[in-house]
Amino acid sequence: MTRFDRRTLLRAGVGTALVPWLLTRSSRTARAAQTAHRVIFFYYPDGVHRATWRPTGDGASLTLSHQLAPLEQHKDRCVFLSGMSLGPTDSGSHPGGAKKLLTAKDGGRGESLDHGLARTVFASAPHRHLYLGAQANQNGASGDKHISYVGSEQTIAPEDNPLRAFERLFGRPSTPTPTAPAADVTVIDAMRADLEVFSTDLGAVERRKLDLHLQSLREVEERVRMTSTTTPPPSCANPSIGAVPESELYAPERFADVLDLQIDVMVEAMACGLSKVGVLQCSHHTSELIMSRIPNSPLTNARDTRSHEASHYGGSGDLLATYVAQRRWFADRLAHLLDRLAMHPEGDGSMLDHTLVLFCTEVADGDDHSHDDLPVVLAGGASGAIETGRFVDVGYRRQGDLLATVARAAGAPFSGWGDGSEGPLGAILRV
Amino acid sequence: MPGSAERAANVMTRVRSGAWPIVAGWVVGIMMTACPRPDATAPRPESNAPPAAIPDPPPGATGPELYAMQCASCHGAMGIGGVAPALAGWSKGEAVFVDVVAARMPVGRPEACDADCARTIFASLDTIAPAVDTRCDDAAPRWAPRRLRLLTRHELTRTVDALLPAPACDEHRFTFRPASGRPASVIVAGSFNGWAPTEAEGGWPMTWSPVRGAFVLTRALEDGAHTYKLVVDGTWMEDPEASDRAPDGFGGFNSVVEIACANAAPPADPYRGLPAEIRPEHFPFDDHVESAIVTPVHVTEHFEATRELAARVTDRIEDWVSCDPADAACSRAFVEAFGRRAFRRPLETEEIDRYAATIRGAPDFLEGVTQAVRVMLASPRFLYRSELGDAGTLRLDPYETASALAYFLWSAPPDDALLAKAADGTILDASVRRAEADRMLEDPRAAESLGRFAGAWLGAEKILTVDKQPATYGALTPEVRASMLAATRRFFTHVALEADGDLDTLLTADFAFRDDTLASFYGEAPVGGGFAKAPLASPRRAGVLAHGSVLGAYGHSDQNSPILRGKLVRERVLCQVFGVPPPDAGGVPNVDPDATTRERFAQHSSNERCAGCHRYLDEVGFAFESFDTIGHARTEENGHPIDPSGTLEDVEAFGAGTAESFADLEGLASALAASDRVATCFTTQVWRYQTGQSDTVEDRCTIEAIADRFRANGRNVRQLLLDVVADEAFVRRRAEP
Repeated sequence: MTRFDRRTLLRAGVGTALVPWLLTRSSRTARAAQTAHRVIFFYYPDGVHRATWRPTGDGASLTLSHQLAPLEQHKDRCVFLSGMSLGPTDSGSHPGGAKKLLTAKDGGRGESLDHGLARTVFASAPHRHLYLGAQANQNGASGDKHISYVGSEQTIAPEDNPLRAFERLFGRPSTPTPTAPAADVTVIDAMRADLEVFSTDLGAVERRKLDLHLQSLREVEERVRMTSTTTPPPSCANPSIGAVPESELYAPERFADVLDLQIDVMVEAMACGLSKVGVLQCSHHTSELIMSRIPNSPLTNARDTRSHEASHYGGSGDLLATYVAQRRWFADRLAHLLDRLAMHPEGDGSMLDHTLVLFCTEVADGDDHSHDDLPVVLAGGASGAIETGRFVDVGYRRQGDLLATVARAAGAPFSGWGDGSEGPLGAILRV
Repeated sequence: MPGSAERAANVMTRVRSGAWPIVAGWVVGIMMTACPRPDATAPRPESNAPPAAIPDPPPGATGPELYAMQCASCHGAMGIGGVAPALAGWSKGEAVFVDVVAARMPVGRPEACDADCARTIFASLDTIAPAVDTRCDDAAPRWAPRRLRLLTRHELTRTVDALLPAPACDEHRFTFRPASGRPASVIVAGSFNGWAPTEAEGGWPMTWSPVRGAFVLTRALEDGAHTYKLVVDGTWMEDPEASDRAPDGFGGFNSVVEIACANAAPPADPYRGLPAEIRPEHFPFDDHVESAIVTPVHVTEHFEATRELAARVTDRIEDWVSCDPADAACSRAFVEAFGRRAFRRPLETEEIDRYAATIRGAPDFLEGVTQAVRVMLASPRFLYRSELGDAGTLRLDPYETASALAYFLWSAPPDDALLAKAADGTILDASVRRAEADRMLEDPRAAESLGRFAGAWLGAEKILTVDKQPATYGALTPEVRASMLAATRRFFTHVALEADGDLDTLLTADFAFRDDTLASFYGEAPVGGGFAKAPLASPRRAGVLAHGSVLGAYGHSDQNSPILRGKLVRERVLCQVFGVPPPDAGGVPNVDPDATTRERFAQHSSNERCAGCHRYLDEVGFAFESFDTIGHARTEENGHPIDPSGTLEDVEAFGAGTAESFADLEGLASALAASDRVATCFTTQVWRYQTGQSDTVEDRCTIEAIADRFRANGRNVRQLLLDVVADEAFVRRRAEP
């Protein structure tokens, strides 16, 4: 049984013109200098104030709106898009939008691009897929509140605890009986063999579950082997992380701290070459997050305002002001992520030069839940694969075209993604 | 974009494959009703104008597309009904259909679908809303599919608690490996036993462990430092394996062992790092089978957990085997003994061979055991419980049946008594299953497991994490939250298991459980220690509906939420499902110092478009207004008296046209308890929990049959559980393609 058999890929809903991934691996080396070394999907909930979001100008005259102003220092390495659409199905629905956001398939009936990248062009990373959340699982949020789809209608949950995510990447400080790496390799090999011989007469659904289990085991097996034989790069020495006590992980007052820690975890993991594709999820759609409780921020307010409540500003000036302030705050967090990436040297520049970030949300405007004209920001140099410092109105293009653009900028072989996808956005793609 | 026929076919495929709740949620995402925001601070002049945001169907839209965009949100996917009556099997003809739709549908915006639109929909009505056979008498029963069920985090924790309990902090193991030969007697003598050098005098004899090739002794010791020596065939000597020594006052040294357990934290759960289970919409429990997949994160956590668990085995290897590892059969003996408990069944010869080979391939026996245990505890044979059954008969085998019983009632592995009934095959008999279940319900594991069921069913667990304004609602401390949830769980298990109670009691009880934390929170007299049954005064005599855990879980941080509380009743207690609110439904109105909650939400009933759904939600939700967002009782809000009266419409089915008035929450609870639907819904929830499935249209008859028996038994909860276990559906499976 091969890991990436065609049946599995097709069932996952991968769209068009899929070049066999083996070709990708060899051609990728040739193109490595021109495509992004890593991709981060940075999600925030409940849209923007569409009417005032758009930047004006382009290139040298690019002028950011109030909601995007925190990105001023980085605007020459950003692309702002107008016109992307999630398509008409479920238009007006938060969950409908969340399902289509990274899958470009109605009802989330397909694999999301982050997994597509993780199993192809970024499959060599020890932790192929990193999914971190800041209060993304709040109050047991599950299902369509998550945006990462490992298969049709099959989501996975983000890790909301930065310390736990960190330990999984960098090891627990003191294991009671630490095992020698060689023994670990023997054990994980035997675990995989044990699962492989677990063959019973199963239906398609059960078979697929076990296939996923085996795939997961194989990834961990490779990682354990790699860890036992390779030394981490020098930049990876002494990674460390602050902590938020587990009892406070979901306190609204700590949201900003948790998010910052997760940004650190993501950047550290990527700086150490442990991951190349990650999804960073702030809260979830129809967010109950009370951002007015974040201390020492422009949002601090005595009156509790739920994020989703503010998104339905309607005729209320108060709510609109709060909503806009929140959107600007999220853009400020994106700027912070970009700052962190810029701090790590890479090649002839920094990690930021070789990273591509997709900053996205599941509806265009929280007040009307529109799925058209989404506010899209691409950030990072992507190793030159994207023409940056731009504001482009693409007219009307389906989300899959944006995802295909990200894929191609990363050197992945997809020329489309999901429903209604025509191809990558030629206006900004350079590879 | 897929064509309408393809989409309709996709919808139908999904129904057959049992994912209709997902489809319903998907399809009803398109909203046809629109509701402007209630905003108490600004005037609302155009509250009835159609919003520009709702997309009109594109020209040339087909019947199924028109239905999906304009009707499905209320009439349900496949026309099975929802907030509005079912259209499946429409028998009143085209003329009536067209007339009604053209004049009145969609609700509040009839101009959106005129006669042409209505005719287009009607032309495809057979496909859009196929007739569902409502007769259940001749319906073939529908079994759950053959499958593997991944153990939930909680089940895994309970499984290793039974299989490999964490060593007690104060237990210390002495080990003595003689340098040469084997002494006849080794005694531990020290400050803990008066330095007695012989067993007769009170010294502690060590036992020879052939597996370890050493003398061992495990004893619980009190906190503090203990000094001791070993007396080996009469000769006093230090313990070579002691971690510390101290001068003995005679020019030599004593061995020292230090115990510090009085304030030690409880042992960490090896599975604490596992991600939370995925719960699809309308599935309240953590054991949804189809959603449970093993990701690399899961594998990593399993891998790490097995380190510690393997150490628990080797630390007490004598508990498992006493053979000499040099003997080839010793490895097999261990694998058989351990495997039988770990996999909840005897192992096949091939399995024993394979794991024994792992042991023998290692440098020494204990290292081999470590490796084999790690592999076995990461094996699908451990991590999943099998419901594959026999491929020929499609029935669960005896050991699968034992596991099904144990995990359903205990969330834990089968005990020896169950395994014995599996070994002799008697467990396959329905009356034996029922008798076993009866026995199992007396065990504390049942109380713990069913308490968790209750917390999940009602969503009361959320009380632990739901946010409340610290300034106003600081009284809801973490201790109070924990006590609230524990009280709800305790109440449920008391009614179901101790008092042989029924569903009515769950909904209308005039008693609850209190500990001192809760008594203090509610301003009641202390109960003196742990949980005790306490009588309630009005308006709290409404069973679980008046529990702090429920009231708090369904309230905002700074105000009540009649919508959330109404939705709780409709969705979790009556299993009546709503679609997604329309885009400009708006958020929650601001707290207004001059208006009551009921007044602030008045928009919902004054606007016909909103009222379509909100008449079912708000009216019910207002009954809870006698309690604030953390469960404290109140009689006035902002100087206005609370009015908790209302009307419970269409309790049996949307569109039924019934309405019952109630004066307060107690009245609402009584009305709910009297309905047939509440019994069907509770049955459905238990069915979901036991099968780990979202119910589909095709499961309706199976569930109705159980619900009928439930009603016939006076809605006795214990009998329901026993019936589920004794039913054929418990052991029969269907083949999956």
